[in-house]
Amino acid sequence: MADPRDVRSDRESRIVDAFVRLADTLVEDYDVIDFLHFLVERCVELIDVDEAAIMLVSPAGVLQPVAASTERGRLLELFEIQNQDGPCLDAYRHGTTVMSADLNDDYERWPIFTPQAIRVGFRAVHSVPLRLRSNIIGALNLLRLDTGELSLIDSHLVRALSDIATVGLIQERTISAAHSTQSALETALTSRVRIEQAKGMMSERGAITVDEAFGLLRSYARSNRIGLSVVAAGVVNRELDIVPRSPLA
Amino acid sequence: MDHRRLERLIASLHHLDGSTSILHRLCVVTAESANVDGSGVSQMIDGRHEIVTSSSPTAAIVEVLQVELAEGPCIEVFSSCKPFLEPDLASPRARRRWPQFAPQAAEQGVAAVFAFPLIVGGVATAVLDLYCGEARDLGNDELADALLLADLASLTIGSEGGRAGIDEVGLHLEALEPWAHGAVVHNATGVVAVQLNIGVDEAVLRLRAVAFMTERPLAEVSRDVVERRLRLESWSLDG
Repeated sequence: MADPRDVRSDRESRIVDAFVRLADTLVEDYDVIDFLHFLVERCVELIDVDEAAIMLVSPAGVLQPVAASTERGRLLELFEIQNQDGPCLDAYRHGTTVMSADLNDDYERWPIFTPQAIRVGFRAVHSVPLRLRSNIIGALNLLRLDTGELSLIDSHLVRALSDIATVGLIQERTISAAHSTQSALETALTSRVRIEQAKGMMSERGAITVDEAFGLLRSYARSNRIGLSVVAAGVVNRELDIVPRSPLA
Repeated sequence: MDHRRLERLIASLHHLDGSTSILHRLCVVTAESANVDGSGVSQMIDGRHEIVTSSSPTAAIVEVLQVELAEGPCIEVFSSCKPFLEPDLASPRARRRWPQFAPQAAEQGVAAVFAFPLIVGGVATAVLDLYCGEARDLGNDELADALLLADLASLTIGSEGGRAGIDEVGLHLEALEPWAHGAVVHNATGVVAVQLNIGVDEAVLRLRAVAFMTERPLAEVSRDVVERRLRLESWSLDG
């Protein structure tokens, strides 16, 4: 007969599994973008939200999405416009969790973000600052298609996942032997730029959309067990050609 | 292409007083960078030849001479679609070719004229003229600058015209962080790099040049590239 202590809920075991895998990722020579992608995907899987993204702040203070649960251009834009207003910007500026359980009540709070978010179907948001000692280095942004607040347990889980994201970024610094947190951020941000450039190159080469290009980039990285940043850099440097040429090209 | 050249020329354009038109500023930069005394642009619209702008009053007068007399290097360029370089207006060759224009331009202190086509849709729709007070050839660097500036000018001539202000086009040359741009700019950079078979550093510079010269925000130009409404292939920047 099974020990009752081993009978965990399915969700509980998935949470444990996620943390174990995140910890495993951190001990090896890892790709920070892959790590952050894995993290945002677990957010969507474990928490009652529909989309998640990690935003990091550049040295000049611009918030950039470096990993999103779904890599759709329109969704990335929704994260980008938060440099004007939005929950991420507030979370980053004030260093506190910012939420809206019903965006319909928050048109005045975020006059640019709210209408755009509602237009693409979102009804509630939740943003948690990524804190590294006294510095805020970005935010974890969660979006829901339905109105409503996160449960208390989910809020705790979000905090834990955002702390893990920060740890991942510090770890990246150690591995790349960089001298400051700034460099760790720059590495992540630069990798992101390479990924976007690679998407553009692949879309032109294969006559596909940039969203489709990301799918190819990702499956190539996975099936060859190479980091996404490494694959993207290979495409940009023209060392890797992973797009089947379109018959029309 | 030496993309530092492009970066330097765009920086010069950007640092000029923004109250005049892009083409006027381009003429000023042309005169400065090619070490000549003046520069002007004239355009062919519905068969009529008109002056568009010039860097100085003297340059404007010489532009008028070419238009009114229907003589001069820019007239040759409209028909040939190729640059026409005349290092000595006092030479018998130049006097024979332009019996009225050559002496009258000399009266204005012009000793050499260099004319470059502004090609839009395969046709020279306008011409960029450089006027020099000294009889001489253009140096290699000066020639390369002039060719590049002519390409930039053709972007302005070929565009529908500006909507955004200069400050909105995202052309701040001062230590621009690559990651300050939205994803769409990086996507477009990749598209252009493949279309023109160039590196990403040069591709983003070309996008910025197009944004600047057409007075449109960089993100908007980038979106057009990503959604295939705009191709930079037709733009031959071979400075």
